[in-house]
Amino acid sequence: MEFNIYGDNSGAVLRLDPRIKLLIFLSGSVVALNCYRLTPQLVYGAFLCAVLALCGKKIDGLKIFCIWTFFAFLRICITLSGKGHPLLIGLVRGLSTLVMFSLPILISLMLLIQTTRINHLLAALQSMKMPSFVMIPLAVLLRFIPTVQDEWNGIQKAMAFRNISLDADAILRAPTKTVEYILIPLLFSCIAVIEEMTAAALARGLDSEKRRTSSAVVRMTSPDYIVLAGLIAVVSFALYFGKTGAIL
Amino acid sequence: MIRFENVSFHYGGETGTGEGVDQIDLEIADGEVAVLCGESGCGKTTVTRLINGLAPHYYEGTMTGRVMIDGLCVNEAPLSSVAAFVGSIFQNPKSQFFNVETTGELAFGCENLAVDPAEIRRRIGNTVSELQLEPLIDRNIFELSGGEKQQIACGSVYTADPRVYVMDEPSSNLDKKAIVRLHDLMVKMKKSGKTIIISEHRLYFLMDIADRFIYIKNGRIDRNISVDEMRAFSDGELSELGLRCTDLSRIRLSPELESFKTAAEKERTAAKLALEGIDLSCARGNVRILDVERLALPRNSIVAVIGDNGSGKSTLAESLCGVIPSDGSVSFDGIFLSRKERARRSFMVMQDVNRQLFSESVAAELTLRTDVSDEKVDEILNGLGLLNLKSRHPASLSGGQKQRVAIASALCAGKDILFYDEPTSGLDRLGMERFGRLLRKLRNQVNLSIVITHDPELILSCCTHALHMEDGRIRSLYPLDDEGVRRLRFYFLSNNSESASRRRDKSTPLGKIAKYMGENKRTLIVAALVLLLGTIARVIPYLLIYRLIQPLLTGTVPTFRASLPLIFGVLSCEIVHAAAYTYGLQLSHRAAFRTLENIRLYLKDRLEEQPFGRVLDIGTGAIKKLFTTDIEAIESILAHMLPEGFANLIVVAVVLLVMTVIDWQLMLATCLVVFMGISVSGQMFHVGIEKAGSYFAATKRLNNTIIEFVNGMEVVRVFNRQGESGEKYENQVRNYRDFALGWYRVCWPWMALYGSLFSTITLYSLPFGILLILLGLLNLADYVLILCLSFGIGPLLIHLMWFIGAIPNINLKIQALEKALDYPPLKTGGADFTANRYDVEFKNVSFAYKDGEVLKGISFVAEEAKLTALVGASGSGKSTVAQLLVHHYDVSGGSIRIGGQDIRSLRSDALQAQIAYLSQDIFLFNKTILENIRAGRPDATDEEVIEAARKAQCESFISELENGYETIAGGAGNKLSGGQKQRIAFARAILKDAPIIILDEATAFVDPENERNLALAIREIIRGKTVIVIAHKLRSIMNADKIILLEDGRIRAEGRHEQLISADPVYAKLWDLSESAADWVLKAREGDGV
Amino acid sequence: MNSDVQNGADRGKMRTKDLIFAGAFGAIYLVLMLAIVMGSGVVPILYLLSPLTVGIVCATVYMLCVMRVRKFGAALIVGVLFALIAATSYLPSFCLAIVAALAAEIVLKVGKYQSRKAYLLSYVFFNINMAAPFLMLVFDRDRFLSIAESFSGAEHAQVLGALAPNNYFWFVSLGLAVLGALIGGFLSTKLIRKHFEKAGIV
Repeated sequence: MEFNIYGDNSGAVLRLDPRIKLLIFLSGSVVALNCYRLTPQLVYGAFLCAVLALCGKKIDGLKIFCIWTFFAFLRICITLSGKGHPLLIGLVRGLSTLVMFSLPILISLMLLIQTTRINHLLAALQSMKMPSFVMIPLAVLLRFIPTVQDEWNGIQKAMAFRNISLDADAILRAPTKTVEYILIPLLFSCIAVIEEMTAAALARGLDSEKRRTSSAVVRMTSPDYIVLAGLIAVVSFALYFGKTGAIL
Repeated sequence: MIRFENVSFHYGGETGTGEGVDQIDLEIADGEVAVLCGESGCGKTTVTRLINGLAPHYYEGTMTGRVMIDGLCVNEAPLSSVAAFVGSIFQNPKSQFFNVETTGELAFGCENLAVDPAEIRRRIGNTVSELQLEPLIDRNIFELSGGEKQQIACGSVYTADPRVYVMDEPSSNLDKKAIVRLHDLMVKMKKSGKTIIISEHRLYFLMDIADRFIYIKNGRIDRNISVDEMRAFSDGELSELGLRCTDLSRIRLSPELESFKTAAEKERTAAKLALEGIDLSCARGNVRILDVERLALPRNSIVAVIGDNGSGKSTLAESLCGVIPSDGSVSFDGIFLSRKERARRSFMVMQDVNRQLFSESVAAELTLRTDVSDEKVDEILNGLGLLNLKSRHPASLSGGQKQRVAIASALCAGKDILFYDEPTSGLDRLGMERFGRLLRKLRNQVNLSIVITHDPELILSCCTHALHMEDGRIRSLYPLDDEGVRRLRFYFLSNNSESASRRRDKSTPLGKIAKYMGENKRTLIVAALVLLLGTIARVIPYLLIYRLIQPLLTGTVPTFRASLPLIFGVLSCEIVHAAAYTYGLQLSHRAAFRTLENIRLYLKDRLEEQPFGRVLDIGTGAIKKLFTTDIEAIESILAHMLPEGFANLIVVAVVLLVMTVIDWQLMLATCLVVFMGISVSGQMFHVGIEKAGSYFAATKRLNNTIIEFVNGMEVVRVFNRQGESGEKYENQVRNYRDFALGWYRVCWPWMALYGSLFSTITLYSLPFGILLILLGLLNLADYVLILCLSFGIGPLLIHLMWFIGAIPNINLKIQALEKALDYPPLKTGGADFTANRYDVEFKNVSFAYKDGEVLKGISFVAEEAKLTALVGASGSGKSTVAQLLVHHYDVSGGSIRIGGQDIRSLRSDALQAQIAYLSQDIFLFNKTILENIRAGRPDATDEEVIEAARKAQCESFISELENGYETIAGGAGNKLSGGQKQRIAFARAILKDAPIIILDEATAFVDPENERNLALAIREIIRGKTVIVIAHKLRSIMNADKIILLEDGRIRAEGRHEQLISADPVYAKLWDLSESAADWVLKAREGDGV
Repeated sequence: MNSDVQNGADRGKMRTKDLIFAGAFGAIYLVLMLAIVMGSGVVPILYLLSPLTVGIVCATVYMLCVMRVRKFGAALIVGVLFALIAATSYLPSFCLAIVAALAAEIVLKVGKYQSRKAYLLSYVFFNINMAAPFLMLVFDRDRFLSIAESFSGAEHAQVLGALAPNNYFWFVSLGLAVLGALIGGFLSTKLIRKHFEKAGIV
């Protein structure tokens, strides 16, 4: 699993303001709750994928759009044909629901995290006057997800030397032992990192009373407004036709 | 000013470590550089924490007294107000950054202090250029190595520009170049009046910056040591204080090591290998970070892996012990092992030991997953001095103790090969020495120890070999004998601070190919679309066949009239298919071969940029392979895999969607089969690759043996040692057979399974479909349609699987191409030669080849119209001087000037026009002799060429040849003797008429009759030129205007023959040797005559 | 000057270092959770079992976090971070996750950050958030039926609705979450006693 969290936007056509990305992030749950029809959903999904692709993740945008369309297609086929074993329908439908519900959030998360420099994101949050108990945990979360992965990679190597296997049969044979072997080194080394990192951050004035500045310039530009207009149009389309509209 | 007023501090909170300090009274003036030294755990770190306020604000505890910085009481004021003027750098690079991206991290301190954004950006720019951080900015911190992270941490603090710097062992993860940079940075800080408090174990790099050393012992200031005093301490005195060396040039090979050094020498001849790696390579993302052709480490050796930060040391170790995937094969004790088996037999003590401790007590840690007896556990613990800690929790131990617990666990598990990743970073002298002793003691218990380290003191105290890595390649491997120690010392002492970090290229394999394709991309896209049409035409007949048999399903008899158009349809589809495929492949091949052309041109340009010496190192064989076989491999990717794969993928996807419309359940069943097929082929790939490694290694060794066998045939026949050589050959042939069979044996079952799964894709939908029909969920017509479609896409799927399996291969091929020539290019400028003098000046020139320093600061002038001779024993660096002058290599230091112009500023052809270089080996083109001489100056007329030949004394032998000047030289060059070839070369030089002439042993191996002719020729060439002669036969240069005697890379003496022979005993001896040799030749010849 | 006095003034309120600790543990929790969910995602049944498996594995992480910080807010921060990553796609899920974390926090406060039983109980509440993402299946029924209706009419949709009883499913995952929390809670008590108390971390 690679989260690519540091925000590489080298191949991007669009460089959006993080606040627009946050808005996209929030719009997802509104649409999910209020839009029952497939066509508005697909329009909304296509819009998200297009934005993702324009922000530098071309392949990912295309891939996610294909997955999304496929599941929508599958659901249409299931509904239209009206056949199939109930159990199979239930299972396929449940899974496709989870996938289709999660995709908007996956796209917006990718947009927010993978294409945005973290200091830009924080600068945006700061300009929205977020207090430190929101900013710090969020910043630490983003800093620490790759750390945990890094530690985990190291621990897996250590496990190979100690002949500790993570195969399915080894896990089933001694589940609690496996959990212990994973958790103990992970937690001990993470705690050590947390302590030193806190010391380093405090020594560099993290808990200063002064209002932080930001070296990153975060500003709304014309592409931001265009995307914003597009987003408003697409979301209102989805909400208007979502529940009762004449279109599918 | 920093003032400690009777400060005592003892840790009490949850985050406390160490013992604390007592009664510290200390004053550090502004602009002072104070070094805190002392043994580990003495309280150095606590003192630094008291200055930056982390104690008591973060590390809680009981404190008495005050710490004042100017007017501010650090222990009372909040941390953030201290942070404004105290900058802290910590020991552990991975835990001191707060951002995930380097530029953000550089800004972090300033942002907290609310510095104006524009000012922050200006300061970052400043930091980046001063600290050479360009390759590191805008990058993910997690892809940097430890040393690189530490440099970012330094940069971050430097950007905040505090008045006081507090550093806690900043050098422990740095390579020697980065230490030089840290040193330079501190010089800069000191110059601008900053106060620096640094706690360090490594003292040598601080000797010229420090103002005083504060020696701390058991939490109290024991004494203040001045710099002069510190410098004057002998090693014994330092050792008593527990301090590390203060001058790297004084460190010697440990006496204990001397004793087994001789043993190592003996074993080297026995050449029993503990570990052998062949063709190891490893890629991260799309970049190859390891590229090792062969590595062989002898048994019972302790190998130090050295190299700059990010040069691939850890990657090498991890791929050798099999914890990261890599290509190539590795044998332990002569047996090739899979990744898992290697991990089982080796052990690595990681830099971060926390990650490898799993149990609740030391004893439990040792017995984890092994059935070792209690006595054995006690014995091992006792040997490592851990017996009294047996029941402690590993996490509650100190760093050094944890490290030893990890080693103990490896010994309990009976591991053969131990790896240590920077084991002494942050250890004091005692800890370092103890570790060295431990390694020496373990030497006979384990097969091999490999130590990754930046610590020359450790290496000289316990290692038997040094392995130097550079940019993912092995630069050299040498035993630490006297010569080896010299090379090692050269590496650690050379004062180079250039950053070796490089930016990573992130482009995908397809992106890389696209770069070379240029406008051929469009052709390829058209080809893909045409092939798509062809593929569609291949599937449609199945639909038509369905239409043909559809009437049967409803019970009606198909009529001829109704069938005829369908049959025509099938036929025309086949025609379209054939035509589209022919045309599409034609297009794709055209694009492919044009791309190959681009790649070859690109590689040629790269090759020409390389230092000529490097090109010779790579070898003609390897270059030929690169330009032919390796590039050719890309052809099938471009011509077949990309366009066909695309077409197949689209068609399969569309057909699957159509199936979904007809019956989604059957589609899911089909997808399941496809999915299984992918996983089976993946499995096959994995299993195959493990065995394939040893198979390819065996192939390679067989090739080498064959070459050796043929090359050695002459000697073998003369000395009648057929048996030995033949036996080796037979062994390799047998080996090859076994590995090949082993590989196939593993792959066969999978291949069979794979083949059967896919050739019968309908086998799975058939029973399921019948079940659905019986349940009444599917009608027969739909079912038959799906069957037809399955038949249609079956072959496409097989094709597709094949392509998917080949994708990792593309990456490897492209990487191999790019990696092969990505050495730093030769430094050439664009200037013309404008000077009107032709004197050659070497100014303090040094040159290192691989690890050896060949020239060590040479300065001399070869004047215009004079003859300068270079003499000296072989290996003294004479030829290197010539090769540097013609710019086959770049100098490592100093400069070479012609007429005052640096040769690095010249265009390569401008330089070559000034110099005629005559070396011992002469290359003749496969053309006529006339043309061969004309190569000296392509626009010369026939008359000029013949005139030059006459001057070079060629006339006589050329006229005797069958076709005279029109004789083809090259291949038929064998007709010419060495001396004759030499004279042709001379004729070229005469024709070229360059103002500077270099004669590199030009008269070696020449018979007396030729010699006289050559002497005449030489006289013709050198008239009025700047001449540099490299000679063995001193008689030939005794009339030189200046003779330079080289010894061991330095100039020993300089002057005319008469001066030297009386003044310099070495020259006199050389003269005698040269004379007697000539004598011997003469006598031998007389003997022949009788 | 004793530093304890100064720190004593705002004891009970989250300081910067507590915020960092909670944020970092949120990351550990999330990575483990994602690893389990994605690792078992290959087999759909295991995916549906994730409230149980995640509950067992992540208990120690949660416990260590709240036992170390012992202030109001630690559990809530981890809970909110979880909700942000895993449950934003559906508003009811998001609210449920937040409510669960808040309940866990309140239980801890009632137990005055001391009682072992309170720790266990609070984790049971906390782990309910693992069932939150599955809440969308309940509401999805309406949505699916609406789609079916627009395609093939109300009658047909009713037949389909009878075929697929997704509503019960959510209560199963809720039960799994509670069960996982209990098992994980006991396991974590054991591990904390065996390792972290012995090493002096808690």
